[in-house]
Amino acid sequence: MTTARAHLAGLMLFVATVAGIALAQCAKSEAVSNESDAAIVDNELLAFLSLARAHHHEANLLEDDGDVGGAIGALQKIVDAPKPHAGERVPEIEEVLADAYARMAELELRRKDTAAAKRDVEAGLSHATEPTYFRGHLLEVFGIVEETRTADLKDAGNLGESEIARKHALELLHQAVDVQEGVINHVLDAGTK
Amino acid sequence: MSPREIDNPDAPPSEEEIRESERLRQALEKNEAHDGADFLRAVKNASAPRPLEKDALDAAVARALGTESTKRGGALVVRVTFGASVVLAAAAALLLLFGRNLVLSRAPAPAAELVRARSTQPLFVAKFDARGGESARIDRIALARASDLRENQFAKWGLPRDRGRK
Repeated sequence: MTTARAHLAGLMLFVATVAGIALAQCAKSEAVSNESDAAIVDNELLAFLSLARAHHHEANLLEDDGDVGGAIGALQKIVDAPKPHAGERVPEIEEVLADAYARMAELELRRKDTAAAKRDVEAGLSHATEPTYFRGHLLEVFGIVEETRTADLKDAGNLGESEIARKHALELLHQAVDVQEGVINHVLDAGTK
Repeated sequence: MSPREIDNPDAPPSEEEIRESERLRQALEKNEAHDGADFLRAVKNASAPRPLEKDALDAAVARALGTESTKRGGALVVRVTFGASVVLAAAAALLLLFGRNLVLSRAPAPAAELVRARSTQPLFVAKFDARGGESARIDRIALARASDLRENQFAKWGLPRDRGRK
Protein backbone atom coordinates (compact mmCIF):
# COMPACT_ATOMS: atom_id res chain seq x y z
CA MET A 1 0.00 0.00 0.00
CA THR A 2 1.45 3.40 -0.91
CA THR A 3 1.62 6.35 1.44
CA ALA A 4 -1.06 8.23 -0.48
CA ARG A 5 -3.41 5.26 -0.29
CA ALA A 6 -2.79 4.93 3.42
CA HIS A 7 -3.71 8.56 3.96
CA LEU A 8 -6.84 8.17 1.85
CA ALA A 9 -7.94 5.03 3.68
CA GLY A 10 -7.39 6.69 7.04
CA LEU A 11 -9.35 9.74 5.99
CA MET A 12 -12.24 7.58 4.76
CA LEU A 13 -12.29 5.66 8.04
CA PHE A 14 -12.41 8.91 10.00
CA VAL A 15 -15.15 10.42 7.84
CA ALA A 16 -17.24 7.23 8.00
CA THR A 17 -16.96 7.06 11.79
CA VAL A 18 -17.84 10.70 12.36
CA ALA A 19 -20.68 10.55 9.84
CA GLY A 20 -22.14 7.50 11.58
CA ILE A 21 -22.04 9.15 14.97
CA ALA A 22 -23.47 12.38 13.59
CA LEU A 23 -26.38 10.48 12.03
CA ALA A 24 -27.05 8.72 15.32
CA GLN A 25 -27.05 12.07 17.11
CA CYS A 26 -29.44 13.55 14.55
CA ALA A 27 -31.84 10.64 15.01
CA LYS A 28 -31.68 11.12 18.78
CA SER A 29 -32.36 14.87 18.51
CA GLU A 30 -35.31 14.23 16.21
CA ALA A 31 -36.76 11.79 18.72
CA VAL A 32 -36.48 14.41 21.47
CA SER A 33 -38.01 17.19 19.39
CA ASN A 34 -40.97 14.97 18.53
CA GLU A 35 -41.85 14.50 22.20
CA SER A 36 -44.20 17.44 22.02
CA ASP A 37 -45.69 19.05 18.97
CA ALA A 38 -47.34 21.85 20.97
CA ALA A 39 -46.52 25.38 19.95
CA ILE A 40 -43.80 27.16 21.86
CA VAL A 41 -44.80 30.05 24.11
CA ASP A 42 -43.72 32.89 21.86
CA ASN A 43 -44.31 36.56 21.17
CA GLU A 44 -47.36 35.88 19.01
CA LEU A 45 -49.11 33.87 21.71
CA LEU A 46 -48.36 36.49 24.32
CA ALA A 47 -49.56 39.23 21.98
CA PHE A 48 -52.92 37.48 21.70
CA LEU A 49 -53.15 37.02 25.47
CA SER A 50 -52.27 40.67 25.96
CA LEU A 51 -54.95 41.70 23.49
CA ALA A 52 -57.52 39.55 25.29
CA ARG A 53 -56.51 41.01 28.63
CA ALA A 54 -56.84 44.57 27.35
CA HIS A 55 -60.33 43.90 25.94
CA HIS A 56 -61.47 42.25 29.17
CA HIS A 57 -60.40 45.34 31.10
CA GLU A 58 -62.05 47.55 28.49
CA ALA A 59 -65.21 45.51 29.08
CA ASN A 60 -64.80 46.05 32.85
CA LEU A 61 -64.81 49.82 32.45
CA LEU A 62 -67.79 49.79 30.08
CA GLU A 63 -69.70 47.38 32.35
CA ASP A 64 -69.04 49.64 35.34
CA ASP A 65 -70.61 52.45 33.33
CA GLY A 66 -73.64 50.27 32.65
CA ASP A 67 -72.73 49.92 28.96
CA VAL A 68 -73.41 46.19 28.63
CA GLY A 69 -73.58 46.35 24.83
CA GLY A 70 -70.20 48.11 24.74
CA ALA A 71 -68.74 45.48 27.05
CA ILE A 72 -70.00 42.70 24.77
CA GLY A 73 -68.49 44.55 21.81
CA ALA A 74 -65.11 44.69 23.56
CA LEU A 75 -65.22 40.95 24.16
CA GLN A 76 -66.35 40.32 20.59
CA LYS A 77 -63.00 41.83 19.51
CA ILE A 78 -61.25 38.95 21.29
CA VAL A 79 -63.12 36.24 19.45
CA ASP A 80 -62.79 38.10 16.14
CA ALA A 81 -59.05 38.74 16.51
CA PRO A 82 -56.61 36.80 14.32
CA LYS A 83 -55.22 33.84 16.22
CA PRO A 84 -51.55 32.93 16.20
CA HIS A 85 -50.46 29.45 15.09
CA ALA A 86 -53.33 29.13 12.64
CA GLY A 87 -54.43 25.54 12.13
CA GLU A 88 -53.25 24.47 15.58
CA ARG A 89 -55.29 24.17 18.75
CA VAL A 90 -53.23 26.17 21.22
CA PRO A 91 -54.62 25.42 24.70
CA GLU A 92 -54.20 28.96 26.04
CA ILE A 93 -56.01 30.47 23.06
CA GLU A 94 -58.83 27.94 23.23
CA GLU A 95 -59.33 28.53 26.95
CA VAL A 96 -59.23 32.32 26.62
CA LEU A 97 -61.82 32.12 23.84
CA ALA A 98 -63.98 29.80 25.94
CA ASP A 99 -63.86 32.24 28.85
CA ALA A 100 -64.55 35.24 26.60
CA TYR A 101 -67.66 33.51 25.26
CA ALA A 102 -68.72 32.64 28.81
CA ARG A 103 -68.52 36.30 29.82
CA MET A 104 -70.37 37.40 26.68
CA ALA A 105 -73.15 34.92 27.51
CA GLU A 106 -73.40 36.30 31.04
CA LEU A 107 -73.67 39.84 29.68
CA GLU A 108 -76.28 38.79 27.13
CA LEU A 109 -78.27 37.32 29.99
CA ARG A 110 -78.03 40.65 31.81
CA ARG A 111 -79.67 42.36 28.88
CA LYS A 112 -82.24 39.54 28.67
CA ASP A 113 -81.09 38.18 25.31
CA THR A 114 -81.19 34.47 26.07
CA ALA A 115 -80.93 33.46 22.42
CA ALA A 116 -77.63 35.37 22.05
CA ALA A 117 -76.46 33.97 25.39
CA LYS A 118 -77.19 30.44 24.18
CA ARG A 119 -75.26 31.05 20.94
CA ASP A 120 -72.29 32.39 22.87
CA VAL A 121 -72.16 29.54 25.33
CA GLU A 122 -72.42 26.95 22.56
CA ALA A 123 -69.59 28.68 20.70
CA GLY A 124 -67.56 28.68 23.91
CA LEU A 125 -68.08 24.96 24.46
CA SER A 126 -66.52 24.26 21.05
CA HIS A 127 -63.32 25.77 22.46
CA ALA A 128 -63.46 23.83 25.74
CA THR A 129 -63.75 20.19 24.77
CA GLU A 130 -61.60 18.80 27.59
CA PRO A 131 -62.87 18.41 31.17
CA THR A 132 -61.49 21.63 32.65
CA TYR A 133 -62.79 24.41 34.85
CA PHE A 134 -63.38 26.35 31.63
CA ARG A 135 -65.74 23.69 30.28
CA GLY A 136 -67.38 23.26 33.67
CA HIS A 137 -67.91 27.00 33.92
CA LEU A 138 -69.45 27.16 30.44
CA LEU A 139 -71.80 24.29 31.26
CA GLU A 140 -72.77 26.14 34.43
CA VAL A 141 -73.45 29.34 32.49
CA PHE A 142 -75.40 27.31 29.91
CA GLY A 143 -77.48 25.87 32.74
CA ILE A 144 -78.20 29.37 34.02
CA VAL A 145 -79.17 30.46 30.49
CA GLU A 146 -81.62 27.56 30.30
CA GLU A 147 -82.91 28.36 33.79
CA THR A 148 -83.56 31.93 32.64
CA ARG A 149 -85.29 30.64 29.53
CA THR A 150 -87.42 28.38 31.70
CA ALA A 151 -88.68 31.37 33.64
CA ASP A 152 -89.16 33.49 30.51
CA LEU A 153 -91.13 30.75 28.75
CA LYS A 154 -93.24 30.14 31.84
CA ASP A 155 -94.00 33.86 32.12
CA ALA A 156 -94.98 33.80 28.47
CA GLY A 157 -97.38 30.93 29.17
CA ASN A 158 -95.39 28.42 27.10
CA LEU A 159 -95.39 25.72 29.73
CA GLY A 160 -94.35 22.88 27.43
CA GLU A 161 -91.20 24.62 26.19
CA SER A 162 -90.55 25.86 29.69
CA GLU A 163 -90.48 22.31 31.02
CA ILE A 164 -88.09 21.22 28.27
CA ALA A 165 -85.77 24.15 29.11
CA ARG A 166 -85.98 23.27 32.81
CA LYS A 167 -84.93 19.67 32.18
CA HIS A 168 -82.12 20.84 29.92
CA ALA A 169 -80.98 23.27 32.60
CA LEU A 170 -80.84 20.50 35.19
CA GLU A 171 -78.96 18.24 32.83
CA LEU A 172 -76.39 20.97 32.05
CA LEU A 173 -75.93 21.84 35.71
CA HIS A 174 -75.37 18.18 36.56
CA GLN A 175 -72.81 17.95 33.76
CA ALA A 176 -71.13 21.07 35.12
CA VAL A 177 -70.90 19.50 38.56
CA ASP A 178 -69.50 16.27 37.12
CA VAL A 179 -66.82 18.14 35.18
CA GLN A 180 -65.88 20.30 38.15
CA GLU A 181 -65.69 17.30 40.46
CA GLY A 182 -63.55 15.49 37.91
CA VAL A 183 -61.17 18.42 37.72
CA ILE A 184 -61.02 18.78 41.49
CA ASN A 185 -60.31 15.05 41.93
CA HIS A 186 -57.65 15.23 39.23
CA VAL A 187 -56.00 18.15 41.00
CA LEU A 188 -56.18 16.35 44.35
CA ASP A 189 -54.74 13.15 42.84
CA ALA A 190 -51.90 15.10 41.30
CA GLY A 191 -51.21 16.74 44.65
CA THR A 192 -50.89 13.43 46.47
CA LYS A 193 -48.44 11.91 43.97
CA MET B 1 36.00 54.58 -11.00
CA SER B 2 35.83 58.18 -10.07
CA PRO B 3 32.64 59.91 -8.90
CA ARG B 4 32.75 61.98 -12.04
CA GLU B 5 32.60 58.87 -14.27
CA ILE B 6 29.75 57.35 -12.23
CA ASP B 7 27.75 60.54 -12.63
CA ASN B 8 28.23 60.41 -16.42
CA PRO B 9 26.07 57.64 -17.96
CA ASP B 10 27.68 58.20 -21.37
CA ALA B 11 31.21 57.51 -20.12
CA PRO B 12 32.90 54.40 -21.66
CA PRO B 13 33.01 51.20 -19.49
CA SER B 14 35.94 50.90 -17.18
CA GLU B 15 38.20 47.84 -17.12
CA GLU B 16 36.60 46.71 -13.86
CA GLU B 17 33.13 46.84 -15.43
CA ILE B 18 34.31 44.85 -18.43
CA ARG B 19 35.81 42.18 -16.12
CA GLU B 20 32.65 41.88 -14.04
CA SER B 21 30.39 41.62 -17.07
CA GLU B 22 32.60 38.83 -18.46
CA ARG B 23 32.33 36.96 -15.13
CA LEU B 24 28.54 37.33 -15.19
CA ARG B 25 28.29 36.04 -18.78
CA GLN B 26 30.37 32.97 -17.93
CA ALA B 27 28.40 32.28 -14.76
CA LEU B 28 25.14 32.39 -16.72
CA GLU B 29 26.50 30.15 -19.50
CA LYS B 30 28.01 27.57 -17.16
CA ASN B 31 25.22 27.79 -14.56
CA GLU B 32 27.74 28.77 -11.91
CA ALA B 33 27.13 30.58 -8.66
CA HIS B 34 27.31 34.34 -8.99
CA ASP B 35 25.30 37.00 -7.19
CA GLY B 36 24.19 38.64 -10.40
CA ALA B 37 23.59 35.33 -12.20
CA ASP B 38 21.59 33.91 -9.27
CA PHE B 39 19.41 37.00 -9.27
CA LEU B 40 18.80 36.84 -13.01
CA ARG B 41 17.98 33.11 -12.84
CA ALA B 42 15.49 33.78 -10.03
CA VAL B 43 13.81 36.48 -12.10
CA LYS B 44 13.66 34.16 -15.09
CA ASN B 45 12.23 31.23 -13.07
CA ALA B 46 9.63 33.47 -11.52
CA SER B 47 8.36 34.68 -14.88
CA ALA B 48 8.87 31.51 -16.95
CA PRO B 49 9.59 28.51 -14.70
CA ARG B 50 10.89 25.26 -16.11
CA PRO B 51 8.54 22.25 -15.92
CA LEU B 52 9.12 20.21 -12.75
CA GLU B 53 10.42 16.77 -13.54
CA LYS B 54 8.98 13.74 -11.71
CA ASP B 55 12.25 12.67 -10.13
CA ALA B 56 12.85 16.14 -8.81
CA LEU B 57 9.28 16.30 -7.43
CA ASP B 58 9.56 12.91 -5.68
CA ALA B 59 12.87 13.88 -4.19
CA ALA B 60 11.47 17.19 -2.95
CA VAL B 61 8.43 15.47 -1.40
CA ALA B 62 10.60 12.85 0.26
CA ARG B 63 12.84 15.56 1.68
CA ALA B 64 9.87 17.55 2.93
CA LEU B 65 8.23 14.54 4.64
CA GLY B 66 11.53 13.29 5.96
CA THR B 67 10.72 9.84 4.62
CA GLU B 68 12.43 7.69 2.08
CA SER B 69 10.44 5.37 -0.14
CA THR B 70 11.68 2.21 1.43
CA LYS B 71 9.29 -0.68 2.10
CA ARG B 72 9.77 -0.53 5.85
CA GLY B 73 9.16 3.21 5.94
CA GLY B 74 5.97 2.82 3.88
CA ALA B 75 4.56 0.26 6.29
CA LEU B 76 5.28 2.58 9.19
CA VAL B 77 3.46 5.42 7.50
CA VAL B 78 0.42 3.17 6.92
CA ARG B 79 0.29 2.19 10.59
CA VAL B 80 0.74 5.73 11.81
CA THR B 81 -1.93 7.04 9.45
CA PHE B 82 -4.49 4.43 10.53
CA GLY B 83 -3.65 4.88 14.18
CA ALA B 84 -3.95 8.64 14.03
CA SER B 85 -7.26 8.43 12.16
CA VAL B 86 -8.75 6.02 14.69
CA VAL B 87 -7.65 8.17 17.62
CA LEU B 88 -9.05 11.27 15.94
CA ALA B 89 -12.36 9.54 15.19
CA ALA B 90 -12.59 8.24 18.76
CA ALA B 91 -11.95 11.73 20.12
CA ALA B 92 -14.63 13.19 17.87
CA ALA B 93 -17.07 10.48 18.95
CA LEU B 94 -16.40 11.12 22.63
CA LEU B 95 -16.87 14.84 22.11
CA LEU B 96 -20.19 14.28 20.34
CA LEU B 97 -21.49 11.82 22.89
CA PHE B 98 -20.28 13.24 26.19
CA GLY B 99 -19.12 16.74 25.44
CA ARG B 100 -22.43 17.83 23.95
CA ASN B 101 -23.75 19.26 27.18
CA LEU B 102 -20.51 21.07 27.78
CA VAL B 103 -20.53 22.57 24.34
CA LEU B 104 -24.21 23.49 24.47
CA SER B 105 -24.33 24.63 28.08
CA ARG B 106 -24.16 28.25 26.98
CA ALA B 107 -25.57 27.70 23.51
CA PRO B 108 -29.16 28.53 22.52
CA ALA B 109 -31.59 25.88 23.76
CA PRO B 110 -33.11 23.56 21.17
CA ALA B 111 -36.84 23.85 20.60
CA ALA B 112 -37.52 20.70 22.64
CA GLU B 113 -36.28 22.48 25.78
CA LEU B 114 -38.41 25.59 25.40
CA VAL B 115 -41.63 26.11 27.37
CA ARG B 116 -44.57 25.01 25.26
CA ALA B 117 -48.20 26.06 25.12
CA ARG B 118 -50.40 24.06 27.48
CA SER B 119 -53.65 24.24 29.39
CA THR B 120 -53.90 27.05 31.90
CA GLN B 121 -55.94 24.82 34.19
CA PRO B 122 -53.10 24.38 36.72
CA LEU B 123 -53.14 28.14 37.32
CA PHE B 124 -56.53 27.79 38.98
CA VAL B 125 -56.87 25.76 42.15
CA ALA B 126 -60.60 26.18 42.66
CA LYS B 127 -63.65 26.08 40.43
CA PHE B 128 -64.71 29.32 38.85
CA ASP B 129 -67.46 31.43 40.34
CA ALA B 130 -70.79 31.02 38.60
CA ARG B 131 -70.65 34.63 37.42
CA GLY B 132 -67.72 36.91 36.69
CA GLY B 133 -64.05 36.36 37.30
CA GLU B 134 -63.05 36.23 33.63
CA SER B 135 -61.04 39.43 33.82
CA ALA B 136 -59.04 38.17 36.79
CA ARG B 137 -58.44 34.87 34.99
CA ILE B 138 -57.04 36.47 31.86
CA ASP B 139 -54.79 38.58 34.09
CA ARG B 140 -53.36 35.45 35.65
CA ILE B 141 -53.01 33.63 32.33
CA ALA B 142 -51.24 36.55 30.62
CA LEU B 143 -48.84 37.05 33.52
CA ALA B 144 -47.99 33.35 33.72
CA ARG B 145 -47.29 33.07 30.00
CA ALA B 146 -45.29 36.31 30.02
CA SER B 147 -43.05 34.60 32.55
CA ASP B 148 -42.80 31.55 30.25
CA LEU B 149 -41.92 33.77 27.32
CA ARG B 150 -39.12 35.40 29.31
CA GLU B 151 -37.74 31.96 30.15
CA ASN B 152 -37.84 31.00 26.50
CA GLN B 153 -36.00 34.18 25.55
CA PHE B 154 -33.31 33.46 28.13
CA ALA B 155 -33.05 29.87 26.90
CA LYS B 156 -32.66 31.07 23.31
CA TRP B 157 -29.88 33.36 24.46
CA GLY B 158 -28.14 30.39 26.05
CA LEU B 159 -28.84 31.42 29.64
CA PRO B 160 -29.93 28.79 32.16
CA ARG B 161 -33.65 28.43 32.75
CA ASP B 162 -35.25 28.66 36.17
CA ARG B 163 -36.68 25.15 36.07
CA GLY B 164 -38.39 25.54 39.41
CA ARG B 165 -40.93 27.97 37.98
CA LYS B 166 -42.74 25.55 35.76
